[in-house]
Amino acid sequence: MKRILVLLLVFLSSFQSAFAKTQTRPLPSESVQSWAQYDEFMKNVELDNRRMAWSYILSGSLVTLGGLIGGNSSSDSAMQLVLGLSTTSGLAGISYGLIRLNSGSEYSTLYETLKRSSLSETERWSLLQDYIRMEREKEDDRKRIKLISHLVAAGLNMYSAAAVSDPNSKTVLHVFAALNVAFAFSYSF
Amino acid sequence: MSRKLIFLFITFFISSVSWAIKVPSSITNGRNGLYRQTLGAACFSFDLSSDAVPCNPAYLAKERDPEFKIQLFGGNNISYLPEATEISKGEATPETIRDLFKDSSISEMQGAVSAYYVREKFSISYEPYAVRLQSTIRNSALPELTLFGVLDDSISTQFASYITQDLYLGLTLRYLRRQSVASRFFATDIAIEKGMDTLNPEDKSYLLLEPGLLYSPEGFAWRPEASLTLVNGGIHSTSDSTATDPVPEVHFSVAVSPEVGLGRWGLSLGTQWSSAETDDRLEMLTIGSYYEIGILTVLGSLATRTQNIGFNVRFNHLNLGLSFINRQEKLDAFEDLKTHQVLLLLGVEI
Repeated sequence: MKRILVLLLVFLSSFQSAFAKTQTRPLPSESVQSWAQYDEFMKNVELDNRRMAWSYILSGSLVTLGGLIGGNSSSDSAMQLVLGLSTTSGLAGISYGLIRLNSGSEYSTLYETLKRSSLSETERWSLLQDYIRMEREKEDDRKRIKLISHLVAAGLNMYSAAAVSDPNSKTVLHVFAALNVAFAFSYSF
Repeated sequence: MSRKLIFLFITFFISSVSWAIKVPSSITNGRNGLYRQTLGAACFSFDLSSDAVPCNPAYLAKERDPEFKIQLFGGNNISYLPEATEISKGEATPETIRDLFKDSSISEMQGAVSAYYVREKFSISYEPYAVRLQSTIRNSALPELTLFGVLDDSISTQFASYITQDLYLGLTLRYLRRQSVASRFFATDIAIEKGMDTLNPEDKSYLLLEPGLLYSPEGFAWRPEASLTLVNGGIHSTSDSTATDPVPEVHFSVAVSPEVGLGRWGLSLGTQWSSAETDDRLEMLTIGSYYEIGILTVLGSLATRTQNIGFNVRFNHLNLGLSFINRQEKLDAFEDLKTHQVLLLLGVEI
């Protein structure tokens, strides 16, 4: 059990930075066809954003407090681990909520810039369409790079597995290679 | 078209519920995961898939972001994992049994490793290792030991789609290889040469079909939903039935999930039928509830014989959870087995 746990954490720490999840921007759906519709769409996005920010702050506070109290009163090491990690997640949740509350949604800057500009609604909409198209293309590129990175990592892990003689190390490397293939698969959609 | 489908679905349900069982359903049903165990029969009408695929596969037809998850799941007494694995594989020695029973408080343990990929209309999951063990001792003068152990290795896939605007259909296909032991013996038996034969394991494979129907009308703030699901219906590798075969269960549940405050609150009433269950109709009912806000989900369920409560925290790749399970199961006609478990979830999401 301990070995699996350690492997999982090692896997996380070594791969998280390289393959971190990218925040995908909630681009407006195909039904948004004009600046007026986009303006309405953004008002709803900002309302949702505030609601979400407060839900993160509130739940993060509860989790942090619960984790601290529970962790101190528990004698079980596995439970202490889960509660300890929960406290960290709780703090991260509060921080995320505050950032969202302060800086708005991922869309806010673009929206505010276009709104304050002297451009006509048609020009704003035209600019926005270009932006959305470029964002979608970049997202596709990001996925492609991650897919290739995982496939290369899988190949390297298989190569390392073939080179080592210890059966346990071989198994671990095979597992990592399989995980890389699974991640690559997840980015292929 | 949809009426025919529903008729075929119900016919399939009725024809599948025909097996007998003596081992507690918590051992045989193969239900791992914090949400599934904490919510019990109430999970079938909730679209919750934090630590596993949804209980009712029809939920996958609904819009969702793709997720890849790797998880470790375990209960208390996890240090007995090697003994549980040895027993289920039939590799136990008299020392293994002695180690297991030297602490008489041991009654149940479980552990699982799993990986899931879930996206709209499709999921695939692999659980290479899931072990469950239950042990009891009766009569301290001449100890009689009961051991139920299963070691599962499974791969499953789910598909889902719409039938009409409000009606969804899903199917889980699960291949399960199960090594298991179900035995009752006296402590003195293992001291003799042939005594360990009582722990000879069964090694069977199953192809399980688990269809689910979901009625989820749109446009209601309370989000009412009704769910009908068959679990563990399928084919065995051999025609001989064993005590640890997964038992088909039919689950029907209704739920509402309105937005309350800054989060979402769900309340469900579920009922189940299976050939292994009791005659007491009240025992088949489960009330389950959850409240999801930001990074936190608090959940629990209540039935005549189970009281469960837990929480789940999901943020920034980490998926953590803790749950307290109180369960009372019929060991035989005369005795109930009471278990208290703490379940832990440690998962990673990519």
